[in-house]
Amino acid sequence: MLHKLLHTLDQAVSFPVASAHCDIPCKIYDPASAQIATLTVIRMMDLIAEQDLSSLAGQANLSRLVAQKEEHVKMVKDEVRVIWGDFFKQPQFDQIPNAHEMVHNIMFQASKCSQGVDRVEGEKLLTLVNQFAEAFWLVKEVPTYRATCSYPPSMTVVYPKLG
Amino acid sequence: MANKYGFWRVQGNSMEPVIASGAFVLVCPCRGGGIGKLVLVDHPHYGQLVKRLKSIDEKGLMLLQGEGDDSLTTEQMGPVCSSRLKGRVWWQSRPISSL
Repeated sequence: MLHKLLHTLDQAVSFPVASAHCDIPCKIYDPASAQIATLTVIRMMDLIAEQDLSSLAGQANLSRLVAQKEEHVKMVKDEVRVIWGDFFKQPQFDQIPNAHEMVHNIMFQASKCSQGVDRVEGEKLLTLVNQFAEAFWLVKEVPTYRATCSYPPSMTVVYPKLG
Repeated sequence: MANKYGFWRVQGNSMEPVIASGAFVLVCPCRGGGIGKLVLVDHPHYGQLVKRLKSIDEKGLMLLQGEGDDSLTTEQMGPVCSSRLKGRVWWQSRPISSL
């Protein structure tokens, strides 16, 4: 009866919800999102460098490009953090003993890409994210290869050899 | 640390059979301790969770555990700062379907 009373009250006032669920877990992890976000950061840096800041249109475009760069830097950090925090467990850390350092370096380098527009920093970020991707596929026992992505900024990306 | 008394609705089955999905729990402030007790935690990644308090180390980091097979594991939840402890479950209702 008390449960029924609370149920009625809940419908009226909406008690906060505490989760006792398993957050799926869906087991869908892929560093590709982090890699694409990194390529976007570099692409934004390239486009920023091309803007004519003497024109109003150029300045307007600059703000849009910087906003996208910021968003994708955050995306790189989020995607890497989720794989490191949710997918990597002790067996993976045993296999990749420098995983924590690798992730910290990505976070630090991503911040540099946020703070500036130097393409060199973007390239360094891609190097680190590619290393992270290689480590991820290594623990998944999936071989990888490197190829130039088919869209700007046309840079080398680590891909899994699936199938 | 814990906040205030309040009712919460539990969603999910990872604490079954101890707490059924759909049950209401009364959460009360507590001042730490309570190893082995059911607690409400504001997890930095998973949000508001009801779990059993497994341990607290000398740095104030808590380890949590679920009851059901589908629960997040202690390792998945990771150590959680005790400042994220919202309270202890003092009472729970029992949905008719779980009787």
